[in-house]
Amino acid sequence: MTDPAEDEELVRRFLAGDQHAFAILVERHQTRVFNVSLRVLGNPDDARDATQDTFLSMLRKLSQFRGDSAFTTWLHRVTVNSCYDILRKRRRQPRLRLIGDEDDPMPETGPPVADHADATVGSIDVSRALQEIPEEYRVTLVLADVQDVAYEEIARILDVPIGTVKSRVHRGRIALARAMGLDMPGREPTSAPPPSERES
Amino acid sequence: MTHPEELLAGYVDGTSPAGERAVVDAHLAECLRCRREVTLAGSARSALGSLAAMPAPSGVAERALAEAEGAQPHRQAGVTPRWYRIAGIAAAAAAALLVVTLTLPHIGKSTTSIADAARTNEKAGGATVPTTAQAPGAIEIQQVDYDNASLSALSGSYAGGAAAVSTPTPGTTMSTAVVTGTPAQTAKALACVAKSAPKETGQPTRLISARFQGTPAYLVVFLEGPGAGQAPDSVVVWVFAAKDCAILSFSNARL
Repeated sequence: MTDPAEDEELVRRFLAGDQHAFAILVERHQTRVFNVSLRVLGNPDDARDATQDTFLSMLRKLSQFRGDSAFTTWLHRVTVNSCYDILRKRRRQPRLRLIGDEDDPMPETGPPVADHADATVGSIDVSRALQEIPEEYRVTLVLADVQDVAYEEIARILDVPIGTVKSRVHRGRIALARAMGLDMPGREPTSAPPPSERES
Repeated sequence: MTHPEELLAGYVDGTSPAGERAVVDAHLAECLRCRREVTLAGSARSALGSLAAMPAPSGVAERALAEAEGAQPHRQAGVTPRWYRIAGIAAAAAAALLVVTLTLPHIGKSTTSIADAARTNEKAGGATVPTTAQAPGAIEIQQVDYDNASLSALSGSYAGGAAAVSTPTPGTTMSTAVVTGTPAQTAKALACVAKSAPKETGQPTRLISARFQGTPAYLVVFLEGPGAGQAPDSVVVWVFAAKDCAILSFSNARL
């Protein structure tokens, strides 16, 4: 429900010296930034760090925002970069594994990424399975299927061709389904392909 | 056989144009592998759609906000964050919360006592001042010109910030009269909420028609929480221009 024109007006007000406009931008977008970070990184502590880093980057780089793309596109790009920074730090600091960890390929460092009161085992499973697929698939899937960002916009956010986005989405969905144990070799689907959910 | 991998993503989520769908349908009729993949991809997409949005933790942008205000962004170790101190005040003042809410329509009146405020409410037609737990009833019509300071006082008052409420903001109160608006006025304010409020804010708990820095405005109070049936832990007040629903300002506070 956020209006792009209002975002750009808030950016303009902030750059003109209205500090309160920055706080409004944060309030409008912090849930989106936190949720992208949470689904990409898989635990609330890292997502909190990424969200904080995103808004610090936003503050420092807002003067570079030219309005060539929508503010949300720009902010998504900053968010994804903050997530990649944390993922890179993780790779530099491999977690010590204890005996017995082998059965748990991606234990969470914080509490389970449970959702609201109606959270099911399935929703926790999908959160964990998401962490088992390659990063580039995960980021693209989170934008496409969790945040409902259009493929064209994802291409602009990630600075890749739209065909690459579509391939990553498809391969990512297959990888996720397999990580969730949904792949049944030799089983012929008996139903028609799923109905359209976003008719164009 | 060549598989139309790039076309399958849009096919599964329904964004493909008709021509592409026809191409994929023709391919699926002959390709077991792609039929399986389409089924798997549809299941994965459904699973991802079941992930509910989580509220952002309170204070998640604290450093950036502090930096934006020119304040020291890096807290010293061991120093209690400001909102923790406010929360402490709120806890101590919890017993006075009801009294505090009675004074809310009178923010900015430098000499109004709590008793005066209550009497004025009564004189103005007995309009009920909502408590923090109520769903919005009719919109309150306040003859008050808010600014960012008095707006912060309004949100802070829900946290029991009695000191903030009693801090005068000279010249902002045009009249202490509080009346209840018509259903049409209430509906117009709710339309602004639907148009301009962030979708994560949920349902408003209080609607106020007043002015903000001279502009006719709606002040809309939301209580936000972590979900999962837990009690709200913060209050957000959005300010929308009555003319076009543009966001003019907002303020938030911990409950």
